[in-house]
Amino acid sequence: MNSYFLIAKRFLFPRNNFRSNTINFISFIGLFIGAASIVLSISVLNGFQNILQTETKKLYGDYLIEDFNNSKHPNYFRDSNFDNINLSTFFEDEFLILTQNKQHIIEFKSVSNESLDEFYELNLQDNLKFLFEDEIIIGKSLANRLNLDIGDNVQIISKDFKLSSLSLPEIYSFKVANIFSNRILKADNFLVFGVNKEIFRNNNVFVELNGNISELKNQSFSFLSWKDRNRQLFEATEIEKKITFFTLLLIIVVASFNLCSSIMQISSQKIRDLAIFSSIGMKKNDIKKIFIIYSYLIGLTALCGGILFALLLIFLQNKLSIIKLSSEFYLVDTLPMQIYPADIIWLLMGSILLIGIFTSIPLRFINNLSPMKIINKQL
Amino acid sequence: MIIDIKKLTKTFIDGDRKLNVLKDINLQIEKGSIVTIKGPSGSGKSTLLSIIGTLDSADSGDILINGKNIRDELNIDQLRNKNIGFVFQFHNLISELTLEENVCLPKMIANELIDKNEINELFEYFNLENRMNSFPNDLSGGEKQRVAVMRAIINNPSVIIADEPTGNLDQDNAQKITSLFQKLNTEKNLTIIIATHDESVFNIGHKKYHLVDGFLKIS
Repeated sequence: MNSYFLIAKRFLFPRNNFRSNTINFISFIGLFIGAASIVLSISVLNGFQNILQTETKKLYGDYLIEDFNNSKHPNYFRDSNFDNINLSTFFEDEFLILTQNKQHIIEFKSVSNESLDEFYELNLQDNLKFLFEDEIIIGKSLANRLNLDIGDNVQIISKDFKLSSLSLPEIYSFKVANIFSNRILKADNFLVFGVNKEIFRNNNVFVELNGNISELKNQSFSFLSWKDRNRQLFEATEIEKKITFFTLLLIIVVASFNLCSSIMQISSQKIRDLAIFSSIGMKKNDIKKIFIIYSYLIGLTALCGGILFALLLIFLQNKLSIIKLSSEFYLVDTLPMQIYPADIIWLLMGSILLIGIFTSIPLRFINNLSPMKIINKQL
Repeated sequence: MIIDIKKLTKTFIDGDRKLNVLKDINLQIEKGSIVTIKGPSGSGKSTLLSIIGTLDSADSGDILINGKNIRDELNIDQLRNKNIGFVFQFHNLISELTLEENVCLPKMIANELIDKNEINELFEYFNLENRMNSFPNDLSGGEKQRVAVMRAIINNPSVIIADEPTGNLDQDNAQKITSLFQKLNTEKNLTIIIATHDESVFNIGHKKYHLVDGFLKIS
């Protein structure tokens, strides 16, 4: 066994030294709790961010091509065979929906029946897979607001009052074929799906995509990811994650302070031993190495322990749904938890850096270690 | 000649006072010899041994170990590890390490392979073969000092420097350690420098010196 590791290990578990053992244990617990708290908190934020992505994807896909011009690329997607991409081409505009005594601004999304079946996940009643031209699917909140139910008739008018040959606004009649429920971004309050394209005055075609878009990257159109489309919300969750990470990292800073005092105490207790090491030819940097190993033995064990403990809790929550939530408020009925390797790598890197800094501070005295003075003083 | 000391001086400053602890010290030590140095407390014996052992530096003068001037040595820690073994008044063993680990420490620092047979033989030679896995606190004072001697000789150093090696032992154990030094010198041809107050230890020297008023005088 490496001599520095052996000595560090023996210093870490001294025989009959309750005080050192207690200080080491407190440092260990601090780092353990810090690491576990960070992993658990970040996993909850990741979980909600994941819900946001999943629910958004159900209605809007992963990517949007806003500047896809149908006349310029009329058969682009039809002629090309993209194995890893699922897409939906559609028209979209704002309209006014009218019932007998109520009206509301809606976003009418005219898609194909194929997309309705394969691209969007609306979780419709009776597993509806086909819409006629005069049928629409509306959101649950909109249906409640307008007192609508499946089978009811509504009228839709272009918000810029497209006029007929008789100079009257063109009014289109539709039947509510189904109702979807997806409260993400309040979508079911304004989003309406249909297959009718005649109500649109312009021919602007949009494309939504799911899958790997790398093979499309060299095309002239640009992509908006779900993050770009919901930038404010996404950035808010990202900032929340960062603030949580740095706030909880303070627990690790405090535990590192404790580790620093532990190193100061053990190094002053062992000053005679350090002088002996020097007298038998150990370099000063190698003496420092002992305490750095000592520190990282506590630190890494506690960090790994804390991370593993948190991973176990995340696993149990995802398997057994221990913590329940009200789906009315949170979109989901159990606390979502998800952790990514990158989060753990950031945590480990940050903690390793902090432990290194706080360990090196008390070790500066070793540069001035005079073995002769220490050994002779004892005489 | 294993050690050659030329015109060595050392001064300590104590406030306004200047203490010339070592004045123009010249000393030649042959391989396989025992050199003993005696002097009153504070006469500079420990300082001289520390300078020879490269734990301290002289103000002027030269020390050659195996013909090499230690001033020119870039890796002084390695030189100390390979060429010098220390035995102090207190055993100075590492209480958290077993006796075997304490003894092997110089080899571990030098990153040398540890020959288990060699270690077993060494423990047998010192009659401590049953205590290899014990810790220093489990041993008597005499046994601890024997382990300290084992640690000093494990790397086959050019010289053993012993500073008051019997100062903390009872008469019986002091006698055993003195005999051990003589045995090591005879059987292993080890070069030993001992600073002592003890007349019986002083008398084992092939060359005996008195350190008085900073000057080293042959006895």
